[in-house]
Amino acid sequence: MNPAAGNHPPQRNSAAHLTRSRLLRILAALAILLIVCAAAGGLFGSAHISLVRAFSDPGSPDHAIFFGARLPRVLMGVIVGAMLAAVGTALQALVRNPLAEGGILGISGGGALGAILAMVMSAKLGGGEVAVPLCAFGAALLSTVAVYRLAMVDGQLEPFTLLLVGVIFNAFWGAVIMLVNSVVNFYYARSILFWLMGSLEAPTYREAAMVAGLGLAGFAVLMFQARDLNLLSLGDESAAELGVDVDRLRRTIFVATSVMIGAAVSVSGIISFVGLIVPHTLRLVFGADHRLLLPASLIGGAAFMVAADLVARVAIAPAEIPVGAITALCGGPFFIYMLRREGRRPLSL
Amino acid sequence: MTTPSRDTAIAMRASAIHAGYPGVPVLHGVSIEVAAGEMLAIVGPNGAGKSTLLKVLGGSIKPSAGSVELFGRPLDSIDRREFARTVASVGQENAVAFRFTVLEIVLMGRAPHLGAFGFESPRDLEIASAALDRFDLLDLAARHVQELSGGERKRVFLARALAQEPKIALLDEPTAFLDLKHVAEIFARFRELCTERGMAVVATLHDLNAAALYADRVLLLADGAAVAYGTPAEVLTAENLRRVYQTEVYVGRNPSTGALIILPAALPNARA
Repeated sequence: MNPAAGNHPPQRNSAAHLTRSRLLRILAALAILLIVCAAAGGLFGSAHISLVRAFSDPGSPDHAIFFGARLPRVLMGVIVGAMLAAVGTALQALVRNPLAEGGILGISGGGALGAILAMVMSAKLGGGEVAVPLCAFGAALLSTVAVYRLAMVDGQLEPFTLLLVGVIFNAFWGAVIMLVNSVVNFYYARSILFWLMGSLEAPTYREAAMVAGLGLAGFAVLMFQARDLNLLSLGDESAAELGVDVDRLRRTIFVATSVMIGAAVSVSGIISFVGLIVPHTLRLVFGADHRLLLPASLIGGAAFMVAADLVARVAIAPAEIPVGAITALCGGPFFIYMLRREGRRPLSL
Repeated sequence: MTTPSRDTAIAMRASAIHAGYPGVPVLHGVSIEVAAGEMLAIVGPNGAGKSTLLKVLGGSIKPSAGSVELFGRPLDSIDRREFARTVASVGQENAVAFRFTVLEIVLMGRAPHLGAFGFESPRDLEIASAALDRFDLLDLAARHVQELSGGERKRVFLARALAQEPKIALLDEPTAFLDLKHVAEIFARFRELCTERGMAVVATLHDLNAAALYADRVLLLADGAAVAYGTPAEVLTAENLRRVYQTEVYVGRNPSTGALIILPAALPNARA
C-alpha cells in the first residue's frame, strides 16, 4: 500500500525464510555437534580405555570394549535418537501440536507391546528377528490411527484431548505389558524395565543395521512431505486449498512414523521425550520450516541421545541408568514448562 | 462502479447448488456466475449460507446437487494443484500452528506452482514480495505471524492468496474486525487486481455499504436461497433488505459521491 516500501525487498533478511545456504550451514553446525557427542560417547565410559591400543592391538581388552560395546552402543544411540526426534517433528506437524511425541501419545507403548508379544511367540515358533520389528510396527500404526481418531472431536483435532488420549494409551499399554510379563516365563523377555524405561544396552551391529535401514527409509518418505507439512500448519482446509491431498499426506505420515517407531522400539524400548525436547529447541532457534526442521531433528536427536546415553553410563558407574530414565528426567519438567506456556495462548510454537 | 459487459469470460459459474453439512442442508438451489475482472459480493443475514456457498466454490464442500464450473470446466475434472493455481481462498479463521514468519506464510502461496521438494526460486520471492508490498507488509516480513494484530494477520493471508497468482479469489469476510482505513485499502487493492489482472473476486460481506460501494454484482442470500441477484442498486433496496433482515432499513445516496448508503432505520427503542 506504500509504494516506497518496495525499496527493501525481504530477500536481504535471510532469517525471514529458509534458503538452501542457510539450511546447509545449520545442518553442518549440527553435524559437528553430533561428531563431538559421538567422540565423547566412544572415549568415555565406566572403564578407561586407550584408543591407540584399541585400534593397534586386536587382542587387547581396549579393543574388545571399544568395538564390542561402545561403538555399537554409540551407533545405536545415533540411530534411535535420530529416528525418535524426526518422528516427533513429523507427528507435531501432523497434529499441529508441539506437545505431541511418540512416547507421550502412547504410540511407542503400543509398539513395545507388539514387540513383546512377538518376542514371546517367536521364542516358541522362531522367526523373531523379522516378527519383532514387524509386530512393533503394526502395533505402533494401530496406536497412531486410534489416538488420532479418538482425539478428533467434530472433525477438529483438540490439542488437549489428544494429550489425554495419549496418557490413557500409555497407561493402558503399560498395564498390558505388565500383564504379559506376569503371565509368561520371565526367561522369554528381556527385563520389563528395559521395555518400559527404554535402554540402549547391548545392541548388536546386525540390529543397528536393520534399524538404520528402516529409519532411513521412513525418513526419506517424511522428507518428501516436508513442504506439505508446512502447509498443514495452516489447517487441513487451507492446506487442501493449496493443493495438498490431506488424507493421503496423513496416511503417509502414519505409516512412515510407525515404521520408524516400531523399529526404534523393537531395539530400545520406550524412550520418551526425545521427540519433544529436540524439535522444540530446534524450532525455537531455527524456525518452523519442516524442510529444515526434519533433517535438523534427525542430527540433533542423534547428538542428544548419544549425550544422554553417555550420562546414563557414567553417572553412577559401574552401574548403569536406563537412558529412557535420563530423557524422562529432562523431559518431564520440560513438558510441564511447555504445557504452562502453551496453556495461556493458542497452541502455536 | 460500472458493470462490465456480461459477455466477458465467465470465470466461475455455479448452477442450482444444493449443499450443506451431514444432516443439515444449507443451500437450496443457488446459482451465481462471476466474470473475469468482476467483484461479486455475497450478502445476507447470519446463517443465510454465505460461507457455505463460498466453500462450495472453493471445492472444500461437495454440493449434493448442482454443478460448479471453472472457466467452463466442471470442478471435479480439475486436478487439485491446478485448481490451487487458479483459485485462492481466504477463510475467516487464520490460525497458524508453529512460529512461521510472514514471508514464509506468503511463500506458502507458491506451493501449487512448485515441485514436491526444493526451494523457492528468485521469481517466487519476487512474487511474494510484490504481494507483501501490495498489502503494505514488507516491513513485517521477518516477524512471526503470532505477533501480529488481527488486521495485520488478515492482510498476511490475503497476500498469501495473491502469491498463488489466482484468476479467482474467494474471500470469506475479508474485512471483518478491520478499521475503516484498512477496509477501504483492502477493497481498493482487490479492485486494482480486478482491473490489472482481470481477477474475479467473490467475497462474503456483512457490511452492506462496502458491498454497495465496491462490488459489481451482489447476491442477497436468505435461508440458503437467492433473494436477489444483480447490481448493488438493483439488489440493495430498502424493500429487499427489510424482507431479509426483518428490520427497517434506510437506503439513500451519498450527496457528494452519489454512492448507495444503507442504514438501520428502526428506532432505538422500537422492538421489531
